[in-house]
Order: sequence, then C-alpha cells, then structure tokens
Amino acid sequence: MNLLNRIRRSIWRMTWPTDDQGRMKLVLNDLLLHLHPTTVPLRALKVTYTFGLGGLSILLLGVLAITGALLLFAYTPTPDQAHKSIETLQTEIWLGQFVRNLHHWSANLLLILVVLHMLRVFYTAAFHHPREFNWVLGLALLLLVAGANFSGYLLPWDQLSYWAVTIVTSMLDYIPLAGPAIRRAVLGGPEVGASTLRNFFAFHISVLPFSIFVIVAFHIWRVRKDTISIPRAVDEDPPTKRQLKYVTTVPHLVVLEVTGGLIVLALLLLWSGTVNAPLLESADPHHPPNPAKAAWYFVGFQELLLHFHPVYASFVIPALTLLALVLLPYLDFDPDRDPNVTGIWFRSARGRRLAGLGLLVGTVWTTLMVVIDEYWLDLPSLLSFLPNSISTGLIPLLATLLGLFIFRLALRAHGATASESNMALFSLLFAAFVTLTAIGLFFRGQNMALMWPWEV
Amino acid sequence: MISKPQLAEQELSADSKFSRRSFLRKIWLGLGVLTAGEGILVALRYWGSRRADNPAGTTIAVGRPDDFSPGTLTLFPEARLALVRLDDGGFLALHLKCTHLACVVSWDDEEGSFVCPCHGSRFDRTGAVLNTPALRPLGRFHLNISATEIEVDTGHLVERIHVSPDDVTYWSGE
Repeated sequence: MNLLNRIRRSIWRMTWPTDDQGRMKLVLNDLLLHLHPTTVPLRALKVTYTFGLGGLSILLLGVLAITGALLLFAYTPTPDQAHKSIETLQTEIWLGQFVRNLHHWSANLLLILVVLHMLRVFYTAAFHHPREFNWVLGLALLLLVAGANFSGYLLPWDQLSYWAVTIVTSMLDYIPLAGPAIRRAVLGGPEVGASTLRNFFAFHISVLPFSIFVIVAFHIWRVRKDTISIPRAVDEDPPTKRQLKYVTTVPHLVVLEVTGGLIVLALLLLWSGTVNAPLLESADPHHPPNPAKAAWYFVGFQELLLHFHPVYASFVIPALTLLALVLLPYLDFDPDRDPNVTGIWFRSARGRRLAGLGLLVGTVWTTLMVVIDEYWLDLPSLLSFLPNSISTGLIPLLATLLGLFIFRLALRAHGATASESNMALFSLLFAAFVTLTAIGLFFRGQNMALMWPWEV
Repeated sequence: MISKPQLAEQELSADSKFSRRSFLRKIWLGLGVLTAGEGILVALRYWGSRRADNPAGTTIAVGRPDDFSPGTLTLFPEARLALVRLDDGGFLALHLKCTHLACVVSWDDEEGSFVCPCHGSRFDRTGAVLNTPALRPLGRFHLNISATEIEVDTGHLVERIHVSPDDVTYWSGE
C-alpha cells in the first residue's frame, strides 16, 4: 500500500460495501452511522409515522452549533457593546446577517420541531412501556431547548429582548419562598443589567448546549435500546419480531434521513436568505415598548397572567403541568393491565374522534373564557371578601380542574378507555395553550387590550 | 452459588453489623456526596461573586419644594421616579416600576393614572392599584426635604402592601 492509501485507511477502515453484510458492518464501524442499528424494520421507515422529527431536530442542533460558533467571533456580551456588535455583524461582516438569520430561524424552528416530535410520540403512544423514561428525557430536552432559546433572546440587547426578559424573569418572583432569591441569582442583581447579560451568555454558549448534547446522546441511546416503535393500523395486534421484515440501514434508512435533511436544510437556507431576524433599537431600560410582550413561546403564560393571580399563572399552573407531563407515561399505561396501543395513531378509531373533540373544546372554551374575563367577569370585586390569591387564583384553578374532571368522567361514561380519555384531556389542554399563545400574539394591542389583529 | 471471597466476608462479619466491604462502600459514598456538595457550593459562590455589577440607585436631588405646585406630578424617567405633590401639599416619590412584572409604567394624562404597557395594570397618583393584574401599590422612596432641595434616596425602595397616609412627606418650612 502506498502512503496516501495507508493514511486514508488509518482514518476510515472500511472499503465501500457491495453486499448486505458489508453494509451492516459499515453501520457498526462508522462513528455517525453507529447511532443506528444495522438493520431496521421496513415498516418503521414509514415517513408519515415519525416524520423524521427527532432526526431533523438533531440536524438543527448541528446548524445551531456551527452558526453559533461563527456568531461568537462577532459578538460582545456587554450592555454597551452587544447591540452595536450585532449591527456591525449585520452590516459590515460578509454574510453576517445571513449567519444570524440562520441561527435565529433554526432556534425557533427547533422549538417547533421538538414540540411536534413530542406530539407525535404522544399521539402514537410511543411513550408507553418500555419507553417511559425516554419521554422524561424528551421533556428535559424540551425545557433545555426553551431555555437556550430564551437565553439567546436577551443577547441582541434590543428593546424586544430587554423587556421580554424583564417580564419572564419577574415571573420567578412569584415562586413561593425562594422566588426573589432565584430571580436575583438569575439576573445577578435587582434588574436586568450587565450581570444578567453575562449570566445568560454563559448559559447560552456553555451550560445549555453541553447539557443538550449529553441528554440528546442519552435520548438516542435509549431509542436504540428500546428499539423503534412500529406503526400499525387500528385493531391490528402488535407485530412480533418474526413477522417484521428487516432491511439494512444503509441505504434504506440513511437515504430517507439524508433526503429529509437536505430538503429542510434547503428550505431553511432559502428562508434565512429572504427573512431577516428582528432587531429593534438598542435596549432602553426607561421606556418599555407598548405593548411589551414576552418571547412568542412564553406569550401563552403572559396571557395566563392577565387572568390568574401571578402565583398561579407563573408557578402553580406551570408546575402542575410539568408534573403531569412527567408522570404521564407511568399513569397512562400499565403493562400488566392495559392493552398495547403503541404505534396506533390516536389509540383507536374512537380515539381519533376524541382527540378532535379535545382540540375543539379546548379552543372554544379558552376563547370564551378569555373574552368573558376581559369584558364581564370581575372576580376580585365579585368576591371582594376573599384575598386576591383565592378569588383570582385558587377558585378559578379549582373550577378549571373540576371542569376537566367532569369532562373526563363523561368520556369514561361513554366507554372511552383511560388512555383515550387522557388523550382527549391532553388535546384540550394543548389546544388551550396554543389558543392563549395565539390570543397573546395576535389579539393584544396597546396596554394589552383585546383587539382584532388588524388593529394591533 | 457463593464465591469464596464472599464466604470469607460472611464469616468475618458474623459478629459485627457491618462487613468491611459495606463499611468502605458507605465511606466512599459519603465522600462522593460531600465532594458533589462542595462542588455545588463552590459553583454557587462563584456564580454570585459578581452580582453587585448591576448598579442600585443613589440619592438624587430633584429641585426645590417651590418648584412643584400642589396637585402636580413630575416624571424623572432616568431615575424611574415620579415626584407627586398632592393637593394638600404633601410629597410622594413613586418608583415607576410595575409591581406585577417589573415593566416601567408611564403616566397617562387623559385617564389621570399610571399605566403598565405589559399587562395593562393601572395605578392612581398615590400609587394605589386601580386595575389588576398588579396587586400591590407602586413602591416609593424616602424623601429628605429642605427649603433649598428635595433629595430622593432611589437606592432604597420601600415596597408597599397598602397605601397609607404615612407614605406622604410634608414640608412645613416656608
């Protein structure tokens, strides 16, 4: 062997495979490919089952790491320099605006894809035993991705980021007992300032990306160990390993991944070439814009704050939701008792209708409640003999929980299984959150008054 | 099936509660917990070491008492301060920060109230809540009034649960 060949072989030991055995060996011996099994069930390759959402999220993390590294060379994390350095990046550095757009839009798209991935896993019951813990890891990743998005939001130090971060970090104040201490620690002082920017920058470029990397590795490893779930038709028994036809990962799975990845990448590049990431004027701590809104993914909570006592809107309700989501895989399915529905979209034919019903009820009910609370209902004066935390906190929360409980009882009485009823509730609450977000984003204008989108 | 070393250990520990192995395991576990705790403590202390970088306010001079006629309200946006002179001549220094989620409130001349752009809370000229979601009145600062100068100590915010007549400072000298 000549020297060049020896060097090449020392790095990449395989010759290009020509038979299935070689292709399986290739998967085992390649660093990137070895995240896959050597063969996959043909049925699991159905694109309309997973939509490749997990894989595409990994792709976006890659884009974010590369563009993020580039941005680090241009950015200065101090209040008086940050905004200027972004302006310089956009106007004077070659492709600077494009790289920032790519980073910005990838981050936003990542958050959307991660939520869609979670919905897919939920509605196909792919989080049922034995995959319960991977659902919890997925939740951790969702929080970390939201945290990464949010910490990045402050860095341009413009009016948008300064006030959005002011609002969201002030919500921390309402956590019982430790709230003010936590907020001071996060902000590094009484208000958003130089220390805050330094803290957020450190989290954004080191703590959060590193945590995401580690948990993503764990998450993928669990998928490998638990094997991928198999899509199946309603009323079809779970297929045994024997009944499944396996094909080699190379080329069958890899071709799909590369195709999907390239399509999304192409769209992302096109979008980033046409639509600029927003940048308002430099942060002014004395003049908030009107209306001042949180980052779009927190606007749902901001809307909730208009209707609930702050302790409930910014602590009790999010904490209860998170707890329910963590326990969901353990409560929704007991392998000793419940029928296996993993891989069936919406559990059953009835499940499909119930999920639709949940989404409908959630949307209509939330819209109605927001409008009623805005124009007619005045709980604090109606129940003026009670403290505010009860009249606008505990009472509305208990009323809501009671409503949800009755909704679930009604479904069960009509023969829905526990898992189907849970799914309807999940759909209802998800629709409620999306509705709150949409109202906060499109229907709130000056002084956060309710108005039509064209008046905002 | 019991292997030989385990058998020996069982004989050794027959008359004591802990075998050597479990004793050492506990020691190592304890040391591990201690190290992790130290690590967390160091990280937290380290994190807190530059907290003072965000400046607090200082005492500022805003003018002479005669500059403000009764029933007026003067804004000092840079200090996030509104100096209110009530109709009875009393002075009140309000912090222009919403007690709901820390947005800066502005004075709405038409409505005659402070309004928060973030969630629409409103406060009257004494800082009392007119409109939720804010629950507590605007914070206030201590005032030091002499014939030649009004000094506002913006470094020390007084947070209030309710408005009270004691919040108002009167100047008697002419």
